[in-house]
Amino acid sequence: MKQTIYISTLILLLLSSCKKEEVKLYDGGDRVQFSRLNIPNPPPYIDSLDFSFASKGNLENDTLFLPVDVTGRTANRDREFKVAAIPEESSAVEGIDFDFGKGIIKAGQFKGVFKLILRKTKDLETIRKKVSFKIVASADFQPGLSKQLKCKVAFFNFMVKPIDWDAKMLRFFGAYSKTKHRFILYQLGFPEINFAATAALEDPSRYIFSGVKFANFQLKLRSVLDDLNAGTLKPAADDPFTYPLKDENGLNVIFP
Amino acid sequence: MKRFHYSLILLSLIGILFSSCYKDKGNYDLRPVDQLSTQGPEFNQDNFVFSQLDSLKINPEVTFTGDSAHLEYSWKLIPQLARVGDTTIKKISSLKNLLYVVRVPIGLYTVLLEVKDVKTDIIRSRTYGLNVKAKASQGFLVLNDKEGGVQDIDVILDNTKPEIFWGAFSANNTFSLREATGMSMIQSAANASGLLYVFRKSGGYTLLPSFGFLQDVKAWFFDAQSTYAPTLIYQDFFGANNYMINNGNVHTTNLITPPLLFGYRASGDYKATKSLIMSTYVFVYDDLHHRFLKFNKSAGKMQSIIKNPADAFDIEDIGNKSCLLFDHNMASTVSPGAANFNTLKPLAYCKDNQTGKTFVYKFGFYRSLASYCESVKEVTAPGFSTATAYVNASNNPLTYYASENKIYAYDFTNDVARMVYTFDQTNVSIDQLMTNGTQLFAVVNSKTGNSGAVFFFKVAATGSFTGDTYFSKYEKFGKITEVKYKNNTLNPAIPWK
Repeated sequence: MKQTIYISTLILLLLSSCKKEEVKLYDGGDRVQFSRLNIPNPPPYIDSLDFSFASKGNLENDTLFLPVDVTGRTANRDREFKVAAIPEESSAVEGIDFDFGKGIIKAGQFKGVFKLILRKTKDLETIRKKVSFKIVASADFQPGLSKQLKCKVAFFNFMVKPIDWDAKMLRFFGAYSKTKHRFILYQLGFPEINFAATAALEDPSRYIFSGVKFANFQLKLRSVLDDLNAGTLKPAADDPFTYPLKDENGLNVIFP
Repeated sequence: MKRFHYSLILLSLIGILFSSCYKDKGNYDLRPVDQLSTQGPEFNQDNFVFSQLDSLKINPEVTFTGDSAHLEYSWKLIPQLARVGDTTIKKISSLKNLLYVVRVPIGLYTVLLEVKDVKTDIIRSRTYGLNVKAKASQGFLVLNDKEGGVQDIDVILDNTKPEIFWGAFSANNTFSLREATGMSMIQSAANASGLLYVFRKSGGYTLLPSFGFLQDVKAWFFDAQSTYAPTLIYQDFFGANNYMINNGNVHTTNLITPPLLFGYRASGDYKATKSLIMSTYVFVYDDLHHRFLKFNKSAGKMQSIIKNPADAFDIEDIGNKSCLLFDHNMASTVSPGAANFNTLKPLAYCKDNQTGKTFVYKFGFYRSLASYCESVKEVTAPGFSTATAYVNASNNPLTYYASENKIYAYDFTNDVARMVYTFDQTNVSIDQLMTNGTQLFAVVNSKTGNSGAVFFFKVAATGSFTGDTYFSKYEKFGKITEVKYKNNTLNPAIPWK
C-alpha cells in the first residue's frame, strides 16, 4: 500500500512540471536613445561631436544625422520622438545657428535618425559654437538609457591643427597652414585626417591612415595643386579656393 | 503460488532468449563472386609530378577472376580543395589505361580510378596523387586571337624546339581573355619570379607567373582612374623605379613591394605616348604639345628638358608630329652613366602629320649626364614612314623596320637602309619586331584571315641575319597582338626589347 502511494505521488509530481508557464511581455513602455557606434564591441557612447565647415567648400548649412534606437516594440505606424535643447549648456541659438529636424521612427523599425541642421554663420569663422540637447518624452516614446540621452555638438568654420601634424604629417604635407589644411580635406573629401600610430591601428572609416596612405595623399595633393595652380586643371564648381593657392599669411601653399 | 508464477515467467523469458541461438538454415544457394581488386603504390601527393601539357600515363594493376569484359573504368581528376559535386572535378577517361594530357591549372590533385563489375555493381577504387607544375615558366608569350572573339596566351617554350604550350591563359583561368592590347612581364630583385601584366582596351589584369588571375586593373592604382587604358609598365632591376603610363598619364609608386601600387598621375599638361625609360631617367613624347618632357620623380611632375646652347632642335616644340619610336641603341636595361655617355644614343623617330616625312631626333648626354639635343635629320629610307614595326638594335647603330613583307636595317648615322629579309607571303603585315642583340623575331600576321606566325632570326655582327633566313618559325596562331619574353626568374642576360 505504501509502495502505491509513493509511486502515485511521484507520477503526480512529474506531471505537475508539465504545466504551461506564462511568459510575461515587456511592459516598460517604448523608449528611445542615441545609438552607440554600430561596430563589433562598440566603445561606450560618445556624447560629443565636432563639426567644421572649413572642409565643406561653399556649403551654407549641413545636416548631421545622429542615429537613435528603440527599446521596446515596433509599431505599424510612424512614431515621433522629441529632442530639446539645453540652453544653459549651449552657446548656439535655435533658429539662428541650428535647427532640429523631425525625429521619426518609421513603422516596423527599431532604428531611426535625428537630424541636426547646422547653419554656417559669420561668427563661426572666429568662434566655436556649441549646442547641447537631449531626448525628452513624446507621445510615443519615453527617454531610454540615461547614459545615451544627451548629445553635444561643437561647430565652427576654421581649421584646428591636428595634434600629429608636426610629429607625423610634416614630412608628407610640409609646414602647417589653415588654408593647406582646408585644401587637404577638400581634395581628399574627408571631414578630418589623422595619423595612425601603427599600421594595425589604421581605420579609414574614422579617417585614421597609415604612413603609406599619407605618402599617396602627398602625391595626389602635390600633383593636383600643381595642375590647379598652372591652370591645367579647372577647379570644381564648389571649389572655394583661389589659384595659385596662397595661405592665410600670403605664402604659396607647397607640398614637399 | 506466487513464487511458482514468478519461476514460470522467468523460465519462459530464458526460453525466448535461447531461441535466438537457433541456427537459421536459410533457403538460398551460395555462389562464388568474381574477385575484383586493384593494386599499386600507396597514395602520395607526389605519386606523379608533371608539368602542364605533359602526358600522364597510368596502367593500373587490376585483378579480376571473372570476365574482364564486364568491368567498367572511370578516371576522375579532383582538385585538392574540391568538394563533392564541384564542377572542377573532371572525368578524364573511361579506358583501363589512362593517357591524359594535363590541361589544368597548377596545383595538387587526386586522380581517382573506379573499377566496377557491372554484374554485381561492386566497385573497387584507387587514388593517386598528382602535382601539376607550371609548364611555361619561361618562353615567348604569344597573345593572339582565337575563335569566338576570345584571345589566349600561347607560349613558345624554347625557340630552338618545336613545342608550344597552347592556351596558358585559358588553362589557368575560368574566364575568357578579350580586348587585350599588350603585355608586360615585370621582374626585379624585389620580386624575382615576377608578375605578368595584361593590358586591355579599357582595363587589365595582373597574372601570377603561372598565368592565374591575381588582380584587376583597379588594384593597380591608389586612386580611382577616370579611364583605364594602360600601355606601359616599367620596373628596373632592383625594383626601385617603377612607372606606368595609363591613358597618357605617367604614374609611379611609393613602395617596391609587389604587387605594385601606382599613385596619382604626375602633374603637367601632357599626353604621354612613346617613352624612353632608363631607371631614374624617364623621357616621354607629349602628343598634346609635340615636345619631349622628362619626369621628375622626386617632384612628382612632368618637366621641360633643360635647353642647351648646343641644341640642334627645339625640344619644346618639334612641330605637329607623331612619335613612331622612342628608344636608344643599347639593351633596354641600360641607363646613362659615365661609362656610356658617348655611346648611348636615345633616338626618337617622329613623323610629320602634314607632310608624312619622318625625322630622327638624336639625344646625347654631357659628362654631367644632362641631356641635350644632338641632331635632327630626315629619314629617306624607303617605306620607313609607313612601316608597321620598328626596333632599335641593342648592340649596333641600326634600326630595324618592317614594310609590307620585308624587314630592313636602317643605319641612322648615314641615313642608309638595306633589306635583310623578304617573306614569301605577300598578303601579310609584319606587326612586331623585337631583338635581344643576338636574335630578332618578327610577328607576321595575315592581312585577311585570323592567322599569325613568329619567325626567329640570328643577328650577325653586321646586323644582317645569319644565313639570310630564319632559324625557327611558329605558326598556327590566330592574329597575334603581341609577343613578349618571360623569364622564370630574374635574369641579368640582355633582355628582349
